[in-house]
Amino acid sequence: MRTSKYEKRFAGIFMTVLAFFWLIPIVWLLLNSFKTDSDFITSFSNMKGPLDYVSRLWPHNFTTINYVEMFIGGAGANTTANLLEMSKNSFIVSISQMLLVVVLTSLSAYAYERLHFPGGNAIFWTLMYMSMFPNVVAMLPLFKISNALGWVNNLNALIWPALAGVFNIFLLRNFLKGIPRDFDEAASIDGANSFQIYARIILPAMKPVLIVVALFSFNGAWNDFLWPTLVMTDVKRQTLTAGLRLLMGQYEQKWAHLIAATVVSIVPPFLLYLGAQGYFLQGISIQAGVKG
Amino acid sequence: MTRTRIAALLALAFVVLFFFSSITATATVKDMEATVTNSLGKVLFSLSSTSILLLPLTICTMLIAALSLLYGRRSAGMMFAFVSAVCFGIFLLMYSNEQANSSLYSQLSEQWKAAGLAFRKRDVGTVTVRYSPLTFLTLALGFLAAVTAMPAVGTQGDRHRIRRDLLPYAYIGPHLFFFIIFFITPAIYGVYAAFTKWDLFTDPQWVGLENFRVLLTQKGNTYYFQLRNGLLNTIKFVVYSVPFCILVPLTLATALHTKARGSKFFQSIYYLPSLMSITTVTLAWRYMFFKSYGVMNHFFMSKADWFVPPYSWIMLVVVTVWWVNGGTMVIYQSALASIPTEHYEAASVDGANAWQRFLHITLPGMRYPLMFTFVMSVIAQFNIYGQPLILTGFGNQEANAVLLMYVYENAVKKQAAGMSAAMALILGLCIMVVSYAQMRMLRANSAQ
Repeated sequence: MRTSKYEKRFAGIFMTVLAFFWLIPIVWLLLNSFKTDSDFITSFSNMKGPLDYVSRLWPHNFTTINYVEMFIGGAGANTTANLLEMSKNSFIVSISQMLLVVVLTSLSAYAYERLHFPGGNAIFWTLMYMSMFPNVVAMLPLFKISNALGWVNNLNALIWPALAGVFNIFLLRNFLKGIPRDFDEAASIDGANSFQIYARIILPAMKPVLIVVALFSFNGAWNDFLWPTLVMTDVKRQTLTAGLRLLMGQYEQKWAHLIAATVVSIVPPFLLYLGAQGYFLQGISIQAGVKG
Repeated sequence: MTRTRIAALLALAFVVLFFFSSITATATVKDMEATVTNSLGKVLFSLSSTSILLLPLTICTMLIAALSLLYGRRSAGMMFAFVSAVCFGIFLLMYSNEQANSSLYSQLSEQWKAAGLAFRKRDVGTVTVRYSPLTFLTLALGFLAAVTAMPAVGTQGDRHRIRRDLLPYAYIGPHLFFFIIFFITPAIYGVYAAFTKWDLFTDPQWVGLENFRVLLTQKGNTYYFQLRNGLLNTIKFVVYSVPFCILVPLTLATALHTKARGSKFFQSIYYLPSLMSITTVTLAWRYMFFKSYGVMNHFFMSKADWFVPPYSWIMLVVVTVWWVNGGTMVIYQSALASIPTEHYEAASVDGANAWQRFLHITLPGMRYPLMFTFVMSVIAQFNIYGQPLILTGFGNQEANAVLLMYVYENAVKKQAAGMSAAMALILGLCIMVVSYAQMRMLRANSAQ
């Protein structure tokens, strides 16, 4: 689309102003995470207008004590809430879920799309229609099932149930539709079996969309809230992001500590996003089915 | 009748007989013997130990076997019938060795308690489990169905064909397994639980429509109030937030599409909140709205108390839009990029201004992504939970309490999981109407 210079300039100004508003909460968190708890409270007393408010956001006695105490320990740390432990849980859950989802969904998508088998399409769309059944209804029974498996307060409960999802298979399948069959057929004539075709041709070809699926499942696991709070009753087994909610009560007087923990919880998904940014637009547009 | 039909009938007979089979358990405490007999259906719906999870697998795979056979797929039918029978066999072996079955234990202990017997759990000797003859007949029927369905294996060509027919199931099998255990089973159980009295841990007691009678008609009851208040607030929130969940990303995507300087950078900024968890988002925004030192009251000089309605609704919408904007925006961006530039050039030649071009070219070109994101947003916002819980959950509970908060609270804190399940089912029905529309769209689009 050809846009006039005037329109471009207007859009630029608009985006700059909006980006400023967009970043307020994040900048606010960052700045205040470097204050001590007492500084945090006193820094906001007797404010005189907007400009004064802004000047008070700056951490004059710059300190990283909050980060240190929350993750390593110290006088200001709460002994019942171990953030290092929670971060470890989060990493275990997110990474294993990500890997399992990628393997399982790519295998299924390959079978549905390329190994033409009678009834395959019927099975796939039955699963799709079933999966629109709302998760809310299944949540409490899922707790009962986790309980039967001995998974209450066990990280398994956060990893395996997510593998039941169907939508990712739909995504990969749609992507596969756009990849020519010539390569598989050539390999098949050369005597490659179906698994070799999957491993050597299909997987590399699906790389961009697999990266997006991996990123989404990592983030989904990292940021999940309702299910971890239901199934993890022990603080030590909680994931980092869901655990922050528990900390809110325990650190009611230690605002700066809590803020530091919040900042840290954003970092892993953000780094992943930066790494996979190039694939992003492409991947999400497939998600929307725009390129169906 | 062909052999395939007979095999299909055997598979169906398996499913029917399954529900007529029963298990008798006996145990002794201080010479007092207690005995309970449960039908397999009841055992299945107690869902109280690991081995019982094999039962939904048994039923589902046998039903798939029956369907495959009815459609003439003998190899698949044979395999599923065989898997089903094996699952059932393993269940029978495992169940009799499982001593820690909470459901069985509580049923047995009721009899001892009725006899006035005081005992501790460790006084209970081994629980002996006996299966009714019908159970073994069912098991045999399963294997018989598999054998009957077996296609000819005489020639090498036959064997090759069977292998080719079964190969795809090796690929989809793992996902199907998880789908049955972690999706179909809890979904059906969730519907069942809505008609029971349940405390989340022990066996649900069937009460029929009682929960719905209370929820829908019993004025003055807490649950009646919770459903009305929660559902009303949820719907209010959907109505307030969804328009902005569409308009804000659409505006941003349009601005980004001009490719003005720094667009890539701005895109990352606008996307950033979507990477955060709801706890992080609400925690951050709580500070923005705090009266004593929040940005809203001290930088933008608002006089409002943002945690009470009607301002709390504005706060919830702002937070939600900020959070969910990224995903929708990127969808719009790629949709905009796929509209052919010639259309715009032609319109420019005809003297159309930016607004006219947007109205007559951009919007029609984005019909599908707009519909898709609309439906997605409605479903997502129906599931609202974290924002009101963390932002307005303290202090003025009821004014912004949404249905999922009550569902969680009743199930976990009040031991009223049956009532929760009924509420969840009502919420689920609302969502289902919307997601059905979504599925129609997905299917139509993927068929193109």
